[in-house]
Amino acid sequence: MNPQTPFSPIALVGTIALLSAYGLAAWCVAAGIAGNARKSRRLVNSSVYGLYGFAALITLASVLLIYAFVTHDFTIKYVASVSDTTMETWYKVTSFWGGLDGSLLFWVFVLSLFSAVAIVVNHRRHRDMIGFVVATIMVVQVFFLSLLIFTKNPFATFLTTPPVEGKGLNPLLQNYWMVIHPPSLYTGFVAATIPFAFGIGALASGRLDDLWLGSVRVWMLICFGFLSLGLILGGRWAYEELGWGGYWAWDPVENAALMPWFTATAFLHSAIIQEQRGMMKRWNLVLVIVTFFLTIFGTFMTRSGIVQSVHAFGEDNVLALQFVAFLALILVVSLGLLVYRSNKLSSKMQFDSFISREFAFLLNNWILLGCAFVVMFLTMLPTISEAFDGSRMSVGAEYFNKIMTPLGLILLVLSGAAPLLAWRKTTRERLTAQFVIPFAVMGVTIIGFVIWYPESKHMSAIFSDTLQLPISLINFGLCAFVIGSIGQEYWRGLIVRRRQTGSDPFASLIGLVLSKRRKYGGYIIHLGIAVLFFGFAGKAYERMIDRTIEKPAALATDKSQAKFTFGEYEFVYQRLIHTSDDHKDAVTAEVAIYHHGSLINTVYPAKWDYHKGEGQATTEVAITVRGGVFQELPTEWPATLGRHLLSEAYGEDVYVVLTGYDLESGLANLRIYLNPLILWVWVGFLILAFGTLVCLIPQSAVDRLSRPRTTRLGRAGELAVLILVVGGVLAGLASQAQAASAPAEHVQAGMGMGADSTGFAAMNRPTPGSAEERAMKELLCVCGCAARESIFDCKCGTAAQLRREIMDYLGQVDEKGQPVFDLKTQAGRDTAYEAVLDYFVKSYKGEQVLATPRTKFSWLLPSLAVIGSLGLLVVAGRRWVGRGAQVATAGAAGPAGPVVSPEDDAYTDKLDDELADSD
Amino acid sequence: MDNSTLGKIVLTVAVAVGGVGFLVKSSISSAQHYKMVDDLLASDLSSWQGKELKVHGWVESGSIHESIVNQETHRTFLLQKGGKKIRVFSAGPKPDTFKDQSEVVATGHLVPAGQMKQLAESLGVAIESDIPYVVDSTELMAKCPSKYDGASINQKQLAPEFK
Repeated sequence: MNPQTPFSPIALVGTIALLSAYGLAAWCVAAGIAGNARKSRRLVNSSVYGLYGFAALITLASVLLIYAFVTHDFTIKYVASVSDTTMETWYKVTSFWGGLDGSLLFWVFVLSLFSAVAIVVNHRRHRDMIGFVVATIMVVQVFFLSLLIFTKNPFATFLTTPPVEGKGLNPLLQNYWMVIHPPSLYTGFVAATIPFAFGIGALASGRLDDLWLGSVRVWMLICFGFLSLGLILGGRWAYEELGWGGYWAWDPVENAALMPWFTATAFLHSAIIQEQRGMMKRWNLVLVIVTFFLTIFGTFMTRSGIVQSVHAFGEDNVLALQFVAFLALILVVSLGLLVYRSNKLSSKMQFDSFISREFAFLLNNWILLGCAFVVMFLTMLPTISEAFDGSRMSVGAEYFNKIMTPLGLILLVLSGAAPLLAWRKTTRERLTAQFVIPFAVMGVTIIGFVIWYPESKHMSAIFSDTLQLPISLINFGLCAFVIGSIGQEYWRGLIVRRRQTGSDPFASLIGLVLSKRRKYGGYIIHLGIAVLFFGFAGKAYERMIDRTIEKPAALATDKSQAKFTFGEYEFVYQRLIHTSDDHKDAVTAEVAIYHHGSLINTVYPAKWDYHKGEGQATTEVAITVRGGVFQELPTEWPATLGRHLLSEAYGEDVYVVLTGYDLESGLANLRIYLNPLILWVWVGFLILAFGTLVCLIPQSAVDRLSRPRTTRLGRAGELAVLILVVGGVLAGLASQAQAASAPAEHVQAGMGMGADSTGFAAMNRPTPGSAEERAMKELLCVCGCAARESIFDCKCGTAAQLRREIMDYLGQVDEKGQPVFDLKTQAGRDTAYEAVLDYFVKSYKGEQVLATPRTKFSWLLPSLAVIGSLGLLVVAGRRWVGRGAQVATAGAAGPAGPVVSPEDDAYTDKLDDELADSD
Repeated sequence: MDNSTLGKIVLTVAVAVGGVGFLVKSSISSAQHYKMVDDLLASDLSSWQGKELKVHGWVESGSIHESIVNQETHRTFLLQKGGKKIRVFSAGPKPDTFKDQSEVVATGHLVPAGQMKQLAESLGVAIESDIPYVVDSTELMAKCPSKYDGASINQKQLAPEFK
């Protein structure tokens, strides 16, 4: 060995781990197939334990790679290519999946964990096919490990002297989105492998009853949930980072995640039909195969360079061929097994009526599959057209919208209509009873929009330019229809539940949802979809303007030249700020936004130019979120609604981008977007996420809550834990959204400009010991950062502006030119200090801007909130316990006692019957 | 096979074929044509009039000129590949990664060079006389800071000066 060849023990052990895992995976494939085929329990167990061992080895390799990043082991090429010593620890960890090599290992790692859990849970239940399941999973693992070991080894080392410093993660990727967006998508992709493996296992073993369906439904729900999360995070990332004012562009990489989302959603619906009616067995198997196929196909699209994307132009023909071969293998084996078992997949059940829930689900499936096909076809159009006539053709976002919008609206109709239809056949009377209220809600909404917001009547092209319809109005009406439908279902369920249990509405609602989580959790998801579509409609009302301001107000002799109006807003370009630190140069424009004369925000759109990465520039947009009437006090609603503007009532984002500048003259090019309703896109996703979580609540958790043997405190505590877990996850999501969309500029506190001596932190510093300093230390920065620092300490641009505001406020002079505040005496400084605090409390409508609340009531309110919440939990918990005690009593009394426990099958049937009758 | 099943199959096939046929026809009529710069210039440029193009190339060093016209930033630059060049005009914000030698796809239409002469003069450039058409671009897409670099074998396709 050449003594000068660099040596990394991490790389050595990591490579050994990968090679060992590779060999073990190959063994698992052979043992799993042979074990089930020859009914050898020893071989099957061997493959199962091999899978667990594989997971351990991959976990070791992953931990080693992360350790290499954290310890700056630049002997390893991958570590040197995507990290450096100056990166924060979080970004070193995220570098794991920041490059191609690491992202493949991350895929293998997540799949190894998921498969271990899936096998542990299902090992005994599916003895006769678990070997095939393990083998299928391990074939996938062998493929990805082949890529890793033979072409994309993340532990490959330099053969010569390694660099002392790494290249670093590209600055465009150094933000918190990188921490959460790629893992969400990868998790969604990987989760689709489990249903596929069970589907292949069922086909291979011939065990095609519904047992395998129950095992995979939750994994497909996880796939759906994480793909939804990944898609919305990607959209939010694009909205915040790219500066084009939008969140979805039908980019091939975006489409790669959307296609399996469509088919996963289709499966979640058609699985219900198979469970209820024993129909669509073959269809469900096709869906799990197609969903998995699309996850691999999407990965192939993004990594091979077969399509052009904003994400990467790189081409890798060898990788492309490897993926094509694997895709072909998937298709050949899956379809072969389907044909082989075709006779076992037929069903004697037929559709009884077109006006039935089954048919609505079937139509839903067709549309979803159609959507997946359309997206796939249009994304691959360049490759397909090149294959046919040698020229690459593609379509833009406008064409995608023309085709996908009407398909989406049909899905929206079905999401509201299907829950109202009966299984097998819906009678005319039931049809009337079910649809009258949702239709009425829709009708009132449409009439209201026509009268109150005539802009909603504008026409849009669908399918072709010649077919124009008032799509926005139809959209709003359908959203109302869905909300009315879901609301009606909940209301009727609540009535039945209250009648059966005698509980109060709150406990009945909780009990209803927990006892039928799939149904009512699914309804919540549908509600989220309706809210999403409401947000999507805002795209049609987006407005944009470019403005060039020669001089900022701070430099201009005529300050009116620095102002311009757009929509209902006035913008004042105040100044251009140039700062720099160790990492980057930043040019920031300070822009004040006024709405009907009142200052609503001062924003700091910027251009950052990183020193590393060959002068990589990024656009830092400034987003001000206006929540419509939900942000206005009740006294201001009438005026807001009176303006009859969609954006005023339902909110919009004011999105400011610094598109160009001249440092010498202070000239700034600004682009302003007004994006109505976009807030509802993020809200809609939160509702969808909540519904998904509800659906994922395991039966064991509900059973524990209902078990009569536990103590009262224990049961109330378990309910509290359940609510806190769900609430905590949502609060986490919401806080991410809130931090990102706080009514402040995008540049976050602490991430701005480095040490106190440079950047925003250095701007507008007070004299030590002055009234300004005292006020700055007492007032909290409103930038929305999690640290909740004072204006004095916070390093962001908002804090710099607020410090300026305090200084200007205390430096006011009256008509005679005399200072308003006496800052020379202690009493005067005290008065000035109190005045500043009052001014901020009034401006921000509450004492939340104070580090130390001034009144007793300020301390009291949080305490009352906590006590009130605990009281609510105790009330709900006691009722829950009360029902449990009743069950225990009923059990002791004998079979004649009333059955009220939600986990009881007889009760569930009774609830179903009553709900069906009330429908 | 009974009539009901046959009917369902026929209906399904009809819907599928009809849908696919509509999609193919309408997408082709709305399609943007992707061309590398050298391939485009080797073809009959007049045949591309009225069609939307995506022209792929690399920005020639020193060719970017920008100016503000009517409140909006206008720019022009030369997109090149394999020694062939074409002039591109665009307006509005540019991608963050747009700079000399960056890899760019410009979406737009070919227009006679004379139509952009006045704009070119306001930007301080003279339109090349040997190319009768220029690209009037509505969208610029520049290479993303890549997580995934292309395989080294493909680097040979780059123009020599970029190696």
